Amino acid sequence: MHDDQDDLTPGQRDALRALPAETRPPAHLEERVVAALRASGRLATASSDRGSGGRRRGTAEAWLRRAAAAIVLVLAGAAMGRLTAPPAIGSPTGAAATSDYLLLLYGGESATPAEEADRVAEYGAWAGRQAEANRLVSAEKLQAAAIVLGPSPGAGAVSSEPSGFFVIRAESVDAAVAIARDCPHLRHGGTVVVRPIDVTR
Amino acid sequence: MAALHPPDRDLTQRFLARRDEDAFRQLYRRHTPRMYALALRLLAGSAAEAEDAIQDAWLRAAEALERFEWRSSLPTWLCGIAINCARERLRSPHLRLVTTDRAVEAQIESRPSASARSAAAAPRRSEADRIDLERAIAALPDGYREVLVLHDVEGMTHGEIGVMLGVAPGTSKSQLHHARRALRAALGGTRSEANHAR
Repeated sequence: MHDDQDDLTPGQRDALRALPAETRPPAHLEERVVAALRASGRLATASSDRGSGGRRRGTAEAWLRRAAAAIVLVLAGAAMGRLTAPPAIGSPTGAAATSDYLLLLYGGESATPAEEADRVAEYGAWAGRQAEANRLVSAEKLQAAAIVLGPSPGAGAVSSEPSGFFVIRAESVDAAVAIARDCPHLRHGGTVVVRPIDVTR
Repeated sequence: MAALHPPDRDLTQRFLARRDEDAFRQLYRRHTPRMYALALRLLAGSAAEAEDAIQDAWLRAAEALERFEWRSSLPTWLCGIAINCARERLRSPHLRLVTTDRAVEAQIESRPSASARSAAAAPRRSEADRIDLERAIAALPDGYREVLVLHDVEGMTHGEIGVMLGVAPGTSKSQLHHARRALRAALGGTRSEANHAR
């Protein structure tokens, strides 16, 4: 019966049933839901107990935002006149054809105040090197995200919510992944996810 | 199964009687991980959409809780609401899910295993396989993904799925057949691509 060929293997079926049944939601969602309930009149006015699931946001996100802002400044300074306007398929120098790749950053250890300046500089220096090689397209904070290097987002220490991104240029997915493996974020307990960017929109 | 303390019924009663925020937060923390996992998987891994769905779900649950008759467990009831909210978002004209071309997605799926096994901070092989599976599920067309998640991941019967999706059990079965076929094709691509060492 053709069903057997199209159906899943026992291993695949077991793997589906074994997928994690729970995923820790982002910390800010609790406050968002509580605020929505309060606005709809379904909660008593704010209690005195904000609880441990309240406004605390990872300081990793805060310093990464500052790092991202610094990277944008580095990019603007280092790449003025170097990066052309959004290229057609192929690199500006007419050498090997390239495509754009997105590097999504997740998690990452919080930096102490003493480490923060160094951490920002480290990320900025890395971004600067990519910019020097005409490989950095942009660096910004992200809203949403997909080749996972590091612990899986949402499982364990790495947040399921992305905290930033780099956009790089490379000749292939493998080349993009090789660049991503060198990203300092991996050395600070974070995860980097690589995704090709659709240029045909 | 260990009894939860305080029991869901007590927290629910406190919440309904006094609109107690602490009681609500306990219920939220206890049940949202399950609801969120479900919504996230149905919404193809989009955290933004899943968050919206979970907010909708809790608002709806808070409104309907007075009428809940405890014929099922509270988590089962809450998950049903979360599933409905996720499905409504899938059908929303304002959906901002990012979907990728199947060819691109297949190419992506061919890479995680190779790169994940060799990267210094790589997940174990089983973790890489799990990631492949989640991404393959996320890449399915919405209708296939719904049925596959509800049946093969959540363990619902075709009868239950039929009631939930408003279709005949036979339709659910047929959709599942197509969904598994598509999933198997995506996973089969991963294995064969990963065999080509670069």
